[in-house]
Amino acid sequence: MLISKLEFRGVRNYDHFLVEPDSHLTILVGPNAVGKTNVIEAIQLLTTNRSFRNPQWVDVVKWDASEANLRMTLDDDGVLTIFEMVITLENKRSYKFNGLTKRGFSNIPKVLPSVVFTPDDLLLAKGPAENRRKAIDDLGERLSKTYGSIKRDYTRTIRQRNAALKENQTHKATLQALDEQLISIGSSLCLHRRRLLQRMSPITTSIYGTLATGEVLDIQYESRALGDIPFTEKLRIEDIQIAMFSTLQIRRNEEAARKTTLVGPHRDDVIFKINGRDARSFASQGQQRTIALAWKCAEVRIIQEIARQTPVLLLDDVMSELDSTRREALTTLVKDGVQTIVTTTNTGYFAPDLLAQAKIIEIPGRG
Amino acid sequence: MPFYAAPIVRLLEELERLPGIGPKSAQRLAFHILRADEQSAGRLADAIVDVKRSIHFCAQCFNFAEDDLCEICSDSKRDASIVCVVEEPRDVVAIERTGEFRGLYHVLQGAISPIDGIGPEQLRVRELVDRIGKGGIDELIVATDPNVEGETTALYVARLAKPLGVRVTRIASGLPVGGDLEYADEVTLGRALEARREM
Repeated sequence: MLISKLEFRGVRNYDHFLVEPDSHLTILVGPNAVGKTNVIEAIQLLTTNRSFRNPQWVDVVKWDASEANLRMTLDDDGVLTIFEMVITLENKRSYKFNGLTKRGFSNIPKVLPSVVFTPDDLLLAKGPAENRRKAIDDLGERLSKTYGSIKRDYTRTIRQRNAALKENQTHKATLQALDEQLISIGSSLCLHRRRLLQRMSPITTSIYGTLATGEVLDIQYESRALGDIPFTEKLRIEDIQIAMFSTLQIRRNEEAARKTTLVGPHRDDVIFKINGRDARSFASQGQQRTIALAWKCAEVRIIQEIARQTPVLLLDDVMSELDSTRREALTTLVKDGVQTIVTTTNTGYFAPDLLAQAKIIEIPGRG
Repeated sequence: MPFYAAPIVRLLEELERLPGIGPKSAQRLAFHILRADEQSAGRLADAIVDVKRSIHFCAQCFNFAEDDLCEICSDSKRDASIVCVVEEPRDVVAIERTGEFRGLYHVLQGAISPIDGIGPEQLRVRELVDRIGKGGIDELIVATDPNVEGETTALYVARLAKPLGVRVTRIASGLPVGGDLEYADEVTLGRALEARREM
């Protein structure tokens, strides 16, 4: 499935924007601050219903427009479908599939998955643990509605439990019920994350190996309740529940004092190790970039494997951050038939043979 | 709003307070009332006043009732040994529509939600315990919404009721995850009632 046409009206800085992307590589080239990233964001919205910028939806609407209209034509082996999203000034989103109004993005029958790579993603290995949890959870949510609903329920449980901890005198009995909820939903999220990481890990490490010869990447899931149990060891949900239950007993006083939930997957981390050394403290700039790149390439592969669909790859200004070997890895995906849309300030980052096949769209500066 | 006479402005303001009614809907409703004859406007006003005067909470189950007890609680043909615990009166309506349940209800009037400052004390939980204490109840079917707050409430009720010697079950499968009971269709709810599980 490919994007054959994109049309935006009243989106960010665009009154009207129309592009018919190439089936392989489309390069949006232009100076800074002309709205290249806005195109990437719009495609991400159309494919995942979210934006890496986490905006107020009304911010997506152009300042003088009455609504933002995003429209995408998908070509699935010659069968065309049109998906349309409208964002209103009231911060509301509505969806149409082949002209029919659909209630909610989850009711869209045909969705093209996407993988987005922005300069912020380069902070995957060394940034805060939250980045790594978000990377795995975002992927899980794109792959499975169950994962998404567990994640949402878990976040809600943590919010409720933290509120109860703040008033723990009045909510003592409620807290017991929330403990049970925390363990039941938390263990389920933990298991889902581990399962997905277990599949991501060999693909990521193998891609890393081809990018950085002589270096071995290892990925672990770090959980205070569970300790570092290798992926090879099979975990049952009951094991996680028992571990969480006992950790919860041990840290009960600390939780009461700090009035916040200290046990559960919202405190876990994904650890990258290069030749046995923790990337959080030891990875060089180059190694960090390679980890981020290997992870994104692995996302493409895992979506192909699990969703049985090739995602569209959206690269926002990352070519300038990568050296030629690493750029090569991204362009390999293009050659493997992954539809790719790239923004850049300079086409010089691309190999001439690739450039010759690409569709290059100039986005002119203002004025 | 200088476009309208003062009484119309007042009506619009009141209508806009209603759930799901924005300025445009309020305007449409107000114009409808203005066009209608005085009698039907009077009927609407009476109906609103009447419902507030005559309806209160059932002394036993806290559903809406006209008399001291609601119609379900005062129906001698219903099985008083099984009590279905729900969050809101509208959930009673949803379950009644399935025709699968012949027991009584207990309306908690909400769900536990510390974020909103709602704990068991703000709900009709103590009244439920009193009801069990009076005897005659063998089973509680907990039919709170299948979301985080509903599940927490269900777990809380189960913890409380089990030591009192009643069987506690939870309606199961078939309910859309994260959904409100109100929106579930009859078939789904009926199946969920059949497949209730031990807590």
